[in-house]
Amino acid sequence: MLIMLNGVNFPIQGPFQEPLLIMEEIVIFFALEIGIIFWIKSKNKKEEISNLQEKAFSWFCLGYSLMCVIFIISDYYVEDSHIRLILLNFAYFVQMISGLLFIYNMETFQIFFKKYLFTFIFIVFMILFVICFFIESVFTKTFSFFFSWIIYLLFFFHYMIKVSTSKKLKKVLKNFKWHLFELFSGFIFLNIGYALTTDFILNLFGLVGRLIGAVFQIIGLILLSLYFLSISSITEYFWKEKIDSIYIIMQSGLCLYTKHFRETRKSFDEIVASGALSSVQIILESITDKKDISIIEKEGKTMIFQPGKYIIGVLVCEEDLESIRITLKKFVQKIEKIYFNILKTWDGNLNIFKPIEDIINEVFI
Amino acid sequence: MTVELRTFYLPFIFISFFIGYQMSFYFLYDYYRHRERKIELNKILLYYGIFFGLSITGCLFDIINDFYITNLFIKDIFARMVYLLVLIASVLILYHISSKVYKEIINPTLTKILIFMNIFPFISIFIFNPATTEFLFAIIFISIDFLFFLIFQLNLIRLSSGNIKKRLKIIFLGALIIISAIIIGFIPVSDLETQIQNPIIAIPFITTLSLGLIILLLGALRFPVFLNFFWKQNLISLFIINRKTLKKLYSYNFTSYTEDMDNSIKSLININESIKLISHGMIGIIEIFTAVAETKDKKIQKIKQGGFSILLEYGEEPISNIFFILLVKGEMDSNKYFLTAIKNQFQLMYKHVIPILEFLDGSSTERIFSSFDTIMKNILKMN
Repeated sequence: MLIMLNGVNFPIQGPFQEPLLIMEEIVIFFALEIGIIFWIKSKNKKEEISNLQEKAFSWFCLGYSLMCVIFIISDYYVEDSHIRLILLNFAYFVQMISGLLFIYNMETFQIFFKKYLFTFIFIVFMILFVICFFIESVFTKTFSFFFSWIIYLLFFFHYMIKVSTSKKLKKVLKNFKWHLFELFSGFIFLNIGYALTTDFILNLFGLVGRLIGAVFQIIGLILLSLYFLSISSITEYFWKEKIDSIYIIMQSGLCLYTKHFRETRKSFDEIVASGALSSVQIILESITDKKDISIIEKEGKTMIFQPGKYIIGVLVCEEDLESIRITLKKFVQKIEKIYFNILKTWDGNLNIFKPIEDIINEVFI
Repeated sequence: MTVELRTFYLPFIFISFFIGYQMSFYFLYDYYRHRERKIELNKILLYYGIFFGLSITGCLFDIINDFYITNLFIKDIFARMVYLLVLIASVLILYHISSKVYKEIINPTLTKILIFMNIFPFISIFIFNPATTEFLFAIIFISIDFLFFLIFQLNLIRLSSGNIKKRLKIIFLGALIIISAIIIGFIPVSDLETQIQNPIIAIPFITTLSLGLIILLLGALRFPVFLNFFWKQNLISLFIINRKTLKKLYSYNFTSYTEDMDNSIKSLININESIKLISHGMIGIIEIFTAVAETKDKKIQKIKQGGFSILLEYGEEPISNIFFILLVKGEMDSNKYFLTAIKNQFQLMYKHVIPILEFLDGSSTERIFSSFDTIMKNILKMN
């Protein structure tokens, strides 16, 4: 039985079938390719902050690609309207899972309003979607389109505001306005492109609209990929203002270096502080019998301990973010790499550690 | 419902073209990225890009001709264009490999003869009708060009090392799979429209072709800088000197890479052990040259002596008083690239330490910079 939709028949046939299939399969391949490339990039950069954003975008692309595959099967090869509806719902669900993974990874990297707020909203929405599917599956299409894309929209615009208002990003990112344009236009192109493939819009514009939609999706994916490629090198600027102070302590408890990033902070005896901090790490290590990163959280303040072979890096900050942990680990590794032979037999000369000030300024400010 | 084979076949073909154009773009982009380094062998990326771009365009013309053009006159023009594009692609790549830099890989005279012989297929493309048997002459020639290029690729793999070798192997594997696709698809049925009627030929053809192109694309993605063959064998020693104090910060002896060198180099290494001579001597040469040639704003990059070269690099702020000296045998662009890589890594690691050197004693300084050994070993792994 053919499904008729104001002039558009399902499965799609006729002169538009071939160009549409070609363009839509190119969209599938391209999204899959970008997803794999970003996935490999994030895997290769396990120890770097940018891998979270790359992983997020990779999930988004892989899900998008799979969703388009299901769309093609349902729109071009399925005659039964009920099976088509089930397949479409499955496609929306796939899109939601990838969207959830995207937002979760982005929120692991950075906090938007409240920790994992969007992830929570998305999970609630997915549960509602499943309930809706079992109660009245006809509404899931509208439900999915409006709600999931509204969440995406809210998330993207909030993210865009964060990026565009960041003074530090403006300062360090070359062609800042162009990258903002990539993000904004990429998202708009992808949204319009996707909207043009939906049944609702097909009613208005027909298959020509769907063809244009496929082209828009490719443009959107290219622009978003360019944005995520460029942003990966400067990701640390998103969280720098959240750091309070840093301590570099010898395993023995001697303080090698301290820096306070906030002027308002009350002065505290650094020698006492470093001794205390080192003993905290020793206690935690003896309890867990493991020499690994330790995090102590209090409302609004977090203390991260990163032990190295000879030193311990302690960071006091506002939030416990994966990106901050990775940076601290890299910082400790860098100090140990440079001073490896000095730390082995350190004679107490603190002058030798003066360059740490510049390294901190480079990494954390 | 019945599903037409064409609805699978054509989208897959177009995806293959999409992959092919991407690959061509990646090669051209990588060439553009490394262009400023002026490494002769890197030009191969440019020619790979052009080769794949033109070949894919030729195939695209063939598809358009077979499936969408009905006018006989335009069909004839398109058929000739297909062969012309592929022939231009193969001649261009042959032209590149006829360069002297590949003389260890393939005989340049033989390559030049082959390029010259390509005049005949060029003429036949314009004279004969693509449907006639005489036209086969052009096809045979194109096949010989491709075979020659494959032999070149094999030799290139044999002589390369590291990441480049890995990438070239992937590209070669991709090329072999594409050749298999062509054999599967075109030996039994030369016409694409007939091929599409036969799923036993069309499906294996299109899947093999896509697979081959995907493998080629994997090889092309972020292709590394193509350094000269045997560049490591030219390395003698490296010195990093503080211009202010005339003291050595770091030195490295590459003897393990130069085992086959003659006595003259060995004696040079002995001289090199006198750091004082190197540091004072270099500063002296730089000062004299600057004064005589009145080139205060320009810096000496290279000094040639007999069969040896002394390559120089200078630190940037805040370590502008540091300079890097690399002694090499002969003259290769790749050695300059290697020295720049060392400079960049050294700057990255020690730019904050250098300004406080005056407060440190000799033994502390030595201990700090001895950590650079690990970085050096990593840099030496490239290519």
